[in-house]
Amino acid sequence: MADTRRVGRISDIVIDCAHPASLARFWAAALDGYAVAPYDDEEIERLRSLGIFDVEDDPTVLVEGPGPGLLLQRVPEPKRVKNRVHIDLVAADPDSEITRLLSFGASIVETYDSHVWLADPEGNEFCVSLTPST
Amino acid sequence: MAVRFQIVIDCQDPEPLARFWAAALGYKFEPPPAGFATWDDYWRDVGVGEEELGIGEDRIIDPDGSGPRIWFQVVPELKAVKNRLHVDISVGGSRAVPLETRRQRVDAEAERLAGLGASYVRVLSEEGLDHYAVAMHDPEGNEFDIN
Repeated sequence: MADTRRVGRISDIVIDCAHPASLARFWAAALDGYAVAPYDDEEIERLRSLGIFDVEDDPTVLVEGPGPGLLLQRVPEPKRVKNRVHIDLVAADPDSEITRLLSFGASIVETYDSHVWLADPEGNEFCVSLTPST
Repeated sequence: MAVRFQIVIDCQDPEPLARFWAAALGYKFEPPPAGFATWDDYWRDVGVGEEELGIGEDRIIDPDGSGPRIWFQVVPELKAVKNRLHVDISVGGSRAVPLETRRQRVDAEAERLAGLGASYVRVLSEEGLDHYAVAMHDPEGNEFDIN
């Protein structure tokens, strides 16, 4: 429980992007047990009150799962340099995981002995370790 | 599927940053693999050259195992622009907790982290909005929010 823990915990990793809804789908598909947070009536009404009538235009989209959430947040500025913070993925079968990630929008930037450096559909760097998880 | 992930933060000097974030999150330095007294011993055994060793502690883990591991990766370049990824730290509690209580918890945590080397950026609060957060920088200028 967040309310009883002695110190804070990471609730979300916030990712700046151009189109939160589509990047949220990518990361929900990438991470085991994660999904785009469902829109209930209250949330749809809240968006309407902001003049947003299509959830595809939601400026902040949450991807939730067993660990910290990923909060995709629309920002006006484009990505300019390599991100200084990134996510490393570990998979039971790294090669097939990379093939799977490529099938829905990831691209390979460079391959190393220990890991493959990829980019999400908006160019955010992430890595997949070539050491299978146990 | 990708079963789990870690967060990687580029930095100049990993140990002070690892120390800061361990204190911020209640994490601890990750112990070296079994059979090795230090991470340097382990990496030497892997075949990593001496020029890459001796950087100090650079990985922290959640003792509960629930939060992701964080690795502070040494890079040659300095931070140039606002990070496109940042973490939110939750201390205030859910919206079921009164806003004033959340504000007090957030302010107390911001003060604690300022004492550990973080700096204040701004308070994120608006009249009429049921939300209170403080934006800060870690000791190397990485943005994070406390809410």
